Amino acid sequence: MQEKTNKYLIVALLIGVIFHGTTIFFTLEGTYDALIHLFFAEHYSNSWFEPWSYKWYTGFTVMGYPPLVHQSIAILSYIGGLKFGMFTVALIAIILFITGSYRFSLLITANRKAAGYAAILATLSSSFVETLHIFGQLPSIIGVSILMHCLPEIYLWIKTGKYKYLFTSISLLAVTVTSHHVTPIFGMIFFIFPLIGMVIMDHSRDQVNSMKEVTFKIFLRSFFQLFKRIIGFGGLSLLVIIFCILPYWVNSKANPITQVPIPHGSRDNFLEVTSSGLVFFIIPWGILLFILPYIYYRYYSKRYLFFGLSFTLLSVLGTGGTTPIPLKMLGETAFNILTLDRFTLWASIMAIPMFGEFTYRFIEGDLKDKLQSKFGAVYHRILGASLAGLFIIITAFTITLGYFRPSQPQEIKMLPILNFLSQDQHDHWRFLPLGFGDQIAWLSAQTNAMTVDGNYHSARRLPELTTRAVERLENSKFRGIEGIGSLQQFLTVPEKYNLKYVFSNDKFYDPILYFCGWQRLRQLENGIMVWEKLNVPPLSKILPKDDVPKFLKLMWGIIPLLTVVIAFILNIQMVWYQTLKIKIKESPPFLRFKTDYSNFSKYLIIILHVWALFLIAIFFFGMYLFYVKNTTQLSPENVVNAYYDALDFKEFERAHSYLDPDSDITISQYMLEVSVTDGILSSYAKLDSINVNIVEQTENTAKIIANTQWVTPLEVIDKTYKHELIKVKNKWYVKPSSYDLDIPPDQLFSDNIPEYYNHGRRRITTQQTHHEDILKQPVLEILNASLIKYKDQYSIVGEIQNIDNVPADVVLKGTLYTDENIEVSTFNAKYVIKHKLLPKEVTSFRLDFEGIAWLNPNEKVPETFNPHEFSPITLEHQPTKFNLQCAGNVAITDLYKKIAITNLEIDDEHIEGTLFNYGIQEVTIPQLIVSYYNKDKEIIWVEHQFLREGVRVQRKQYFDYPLQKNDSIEVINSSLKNCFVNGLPNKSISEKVVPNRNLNHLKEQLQELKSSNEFQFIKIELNSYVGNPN
Amino acid sequence: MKKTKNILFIVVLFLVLTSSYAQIAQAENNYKLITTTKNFIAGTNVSISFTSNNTLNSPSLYIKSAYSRTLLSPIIKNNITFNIPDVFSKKAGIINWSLILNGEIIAKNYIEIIPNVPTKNLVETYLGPRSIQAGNRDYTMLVIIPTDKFDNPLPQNSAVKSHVQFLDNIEYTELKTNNLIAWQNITSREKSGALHISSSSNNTTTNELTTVIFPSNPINFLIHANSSHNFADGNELTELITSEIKDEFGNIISDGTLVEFNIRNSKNIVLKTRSSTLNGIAKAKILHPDHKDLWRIKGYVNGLAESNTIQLAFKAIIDDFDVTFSEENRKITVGPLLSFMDQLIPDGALVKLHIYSKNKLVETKSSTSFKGFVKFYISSEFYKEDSYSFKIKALGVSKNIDQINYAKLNK
Repeated sequence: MQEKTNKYLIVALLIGVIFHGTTIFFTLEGTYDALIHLFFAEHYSNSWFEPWSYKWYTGFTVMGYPPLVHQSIAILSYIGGLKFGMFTVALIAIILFITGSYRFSLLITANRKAAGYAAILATLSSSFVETLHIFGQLPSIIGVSILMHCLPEIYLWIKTGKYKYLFTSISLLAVTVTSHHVTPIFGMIFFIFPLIGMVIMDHSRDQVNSMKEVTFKIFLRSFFQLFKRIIGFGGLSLLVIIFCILPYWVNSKANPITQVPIPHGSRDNFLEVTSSGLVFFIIPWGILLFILPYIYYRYYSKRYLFFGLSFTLLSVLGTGGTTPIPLKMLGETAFNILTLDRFTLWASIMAIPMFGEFTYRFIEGDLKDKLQSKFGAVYHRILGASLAGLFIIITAFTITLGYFRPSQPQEIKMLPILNFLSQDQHDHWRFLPLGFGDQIAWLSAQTNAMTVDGNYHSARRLPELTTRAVERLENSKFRGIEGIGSLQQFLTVPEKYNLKYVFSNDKFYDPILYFCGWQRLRQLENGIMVWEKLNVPPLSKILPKDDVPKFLKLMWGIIPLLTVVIAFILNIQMVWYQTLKIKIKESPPFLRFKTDYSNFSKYLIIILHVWALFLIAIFFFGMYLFYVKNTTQLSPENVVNAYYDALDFKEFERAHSYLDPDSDITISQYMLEVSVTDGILSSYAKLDSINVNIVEQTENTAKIIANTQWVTPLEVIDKTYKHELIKVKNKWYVKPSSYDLDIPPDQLFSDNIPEYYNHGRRRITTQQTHHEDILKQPVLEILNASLIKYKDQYSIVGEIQNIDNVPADVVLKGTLYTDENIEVSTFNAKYVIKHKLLPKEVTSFRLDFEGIAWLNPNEKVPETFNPHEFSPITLEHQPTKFNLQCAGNVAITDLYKKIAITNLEIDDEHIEGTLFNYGIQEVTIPQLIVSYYNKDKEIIWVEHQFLREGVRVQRKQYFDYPLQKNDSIEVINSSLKNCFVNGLPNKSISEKVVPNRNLNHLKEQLQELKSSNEFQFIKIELNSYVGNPN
Repeated sequence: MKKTKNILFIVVLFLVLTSSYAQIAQAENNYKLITTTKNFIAGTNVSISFTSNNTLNSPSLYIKSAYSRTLLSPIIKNNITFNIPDVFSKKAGIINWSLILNGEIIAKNYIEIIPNVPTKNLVETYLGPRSIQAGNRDYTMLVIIPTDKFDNPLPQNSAVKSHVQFLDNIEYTELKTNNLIAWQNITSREKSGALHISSSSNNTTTNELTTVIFPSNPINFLIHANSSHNFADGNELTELITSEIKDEFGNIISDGTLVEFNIRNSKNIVLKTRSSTLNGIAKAKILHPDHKDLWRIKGYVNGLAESNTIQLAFKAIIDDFDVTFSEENRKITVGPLLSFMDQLIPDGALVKLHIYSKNKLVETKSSTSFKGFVKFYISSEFYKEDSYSFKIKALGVSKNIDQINYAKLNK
């Protein structure tokens, strides 16, 4: 019999290609993963057989991800570029998914119409839309689509035993494994095992007259009859899985993933973290939630029993951290490595056939008849319309999610960055983008320059990254202490990674860059700020790599595409036979196992209704909770939360709307007051948590204390606010608090400051900087330095002076040695130093030795964020000597010094003081550097404090600094013997440049303390970060 | 008969063999070097010729210099001539050659290429450091490498000249190359400015190079203060100005040099302000204290220079202020605060309220004045004790208020 073309499938394909084919152009580039695959594709298009890529993570191997999709994009990129390749592959994925859904549904339902409906529904299902348009997981989609194509072939092999089906099924499985490794491995368990169960069922069914007669005994007998075929298939598929991506397995063995797990939303408790619940539960399930009872009912019928078990397992595993079951079933390791959203995706795919069947029965089958006879045609129509409406709404919501809640920063124009990197050999250093989102992959794909960061975290190799749950440095602000901690280490010792340029798309990171000694270079046309670090050597010409044997490289380059070719030849034969009518294809045996669609169970209709009502009730309850929690002026807590939320997002107009309408603060007055406050808290902080306590509440007034916690790039700030609230016309309002009333002394005034500019004295050329254009390194002098032991932690403290006539940027590197001259640790000065010094300026410094945090697996990662807390290095030997290397480079920026200490009050515990800014730049973040001296006026400790508010021009700022108590300061070694400046011994410099130093100057200026401990004197220095230089 | 035949054959064979050997040996000795010159000038045509009557085989010449090595084929006319390629003949130095025939070296020797001095010379110069300190401790070093037009360094003791300009003075110094280079240490001068330096060799001169002479270390200086009045109103700026700071040679010190002003007040507290110099003068500002005080001010360029100490006395602007309690003693109003002409003090004067309960400090509140008044509110939610006493500090005046009773009001 000639098979007719299935109209529904054609419709599904048309819808799919038109709907997805047009929308991918607006969504795919903004997805999480698509650009990563593009980056890999770019790698293959340049060096097909070389698996080593230098561009990310100081080098990594691309053998960590199955290459088929990447190589396909790479092949297609030779025709029309990388993005052409990506979109073409995405289109192929869409077609494969639709046809795969059809074939899988036909296999399960044995009904062409039901399968046709299933194909249409699959095309528009929210889980597919989400996977493609939000996550951009192309390999995963292709993998699961091919797996669905593979399933009928497996069925036919086991059922009929014809070898051609064995070959076709194995060939398709090979394509699956080369496109996505996880799909066939878990697909084996969740799809193929139940399928084998179904074949055995069908085989047993053939032995007897009806499904009811199939007993366990018959089932077992069938199993043994088919055992050879099953084992044959199983063994071969295992071989294929191992052989086709052998280099991947070799690489996994050589570089096992020993990383700290990275938090993933799919492991959250969906009831607590509702956003994860939405993305990883509500959206992928979508409308399927309403017909869950039907799906369970059908899959638990005898024939599909094993699918039922698998479906149950998948749906339970997909609940992530909401229930304890997934954790118990998978065990801690697997639970923390796997992303559990894939289980929900597979469950939703497994549900497709039953969804199609349900729809078929609802639209033109027995369910329609039953509903119409029982409730009338109108009810059936309304029900149909609401289900269809809901289905479309969820799909539309999913596809537009990326538009309303962008997961990525706005698209960045890469050209200015690419031009910058290729100018003046800037690509001879590594760079680091900050705040780029997944677009760093697109940047890396277009430039030859390398970055220390990357976007495929399984491939990370530096222990600084793998020991932390930090996905990328680029978005470290979302990872609290671990993120900022990792970033700090990279920024403090950038020469270790040859990291010289930072592209910042988020001003949040500006303070950390400044206080780690970086300087702003310029803003590119696309608004990206380039930061630069001086004194970083360029990359060496030859970089290390992990080489692999040639045969693995050849396998990796040849096999994936070969599997496609073989699968194409083997499977397309049938299509040819069919089209050319050479041979009429026999109807596949699974079509004989039809389900009777004549008598829809009455009880099932009732259960479905009850279930739907239950879901609707939950939905409305959730909405109610949402309303109570989020209606801003319903209660005192809400209005305070809303007020701080508005402040956090800088929506000052909204914040003003929460202020007492009877207070006489106009919106313009409020905006003025808010706009003049600057500082780390108002400009660089992100509200982390707020806890509102009601002190007192009457009918119409309330007093609250809000304990807020703000994450800033430098530290976490706890701040307590007291507010009075008032209820006017059933709405709660915040009473405005007072603002600084200080009036500056002068209105218009002038200031003279030296400004600097540095450029080469040559014509514009593409050659590298000429030796004549390089300025002499400014001469610095280390005035004193001591190795200090404080609470089991070693530090070098001391003072440095710029004794040259030009401003200097200071890089200070310390190394500790034991008595036997064994090097034990080395690190750079981070925050406790002024990195930019004017001529003759002195700075105190403290150099701490940080280890790589939590390198020790037994160490528990702290749960709360505390940037003050760093990981002191654990030293095996006792350091007794130190070496200090100090490098100066001419600095021309960040030299604002015009802050005076106008008042100080010192008691035993505190120093209270007043700063005054007498210059013409607003200081965003003032930093106090406080040095402590013993009775002989020798420096023994240095501390620092960032002030929370900035100092405006001609304004005061009060500070309160808690004095350090001397717990256990121990001076181990105090010597300038091994101190070097620009590579020359400190002593020779000091003798030559300042032969007659007056040693009393610094001592005369110290402040006495009335303290009983070793700290007898202090010195306060000021370092100021100007966020927006004029 | 057969035997004799054999012997004859062997003899003939021997003769033939020996004679042919002799012929080869003769051919070897036939190659005779014609070129007698050992030294060639760089850039000229260099060839090595041999005579030979052997025209059957052509030998090759293997040449090797510091630059490279290669195998040459001959041009055979009357003589056998090897032309040395100009990549070799341009580089000064020794070229070793070997004549090779049938894989064997049959003659070897060397020639030397010498720099082409009479051509227009090139001069490479290096100067550094590019900035030095005035005085006689510091110097910059000039390195001159004269070469011929093929970049071959000139022979030992070639003459070069350095030209050093400073202010009105230009010095020329004759130097001789030693080990391919000539060098000179140019000592710094006492005046700051720029040293322009160039060099010449055989009528070729170089670009001008510059070394900046920065001023030397500053010497002691004077400071004075400047302000529009000497009242301690906490809202007026005093400017601290240095004299023109110079180094030991009278040069004005570099712009940007940081001068720190150290202020000790009457409580021996160290206050600080600082400024960078411009044309040798640093101007720093500091806010007047808000209470009567005596300041001793001294300026420092740390470790290098210091100033005289000046004294500034600030006069108190008020002796007393009013404190009123209202709203069931919960509201405390301080003021009016009046300044030196009995005008209202400019907004922003700091007033501190210390709250004591049973002689223990509970809290310190501070607020700034607005139109001469400061208001505090002692809310009953936070202050639940029956009585509190207060200490109010403003503009250096402090006032104690004993035992304000809240007991009955609480009820």
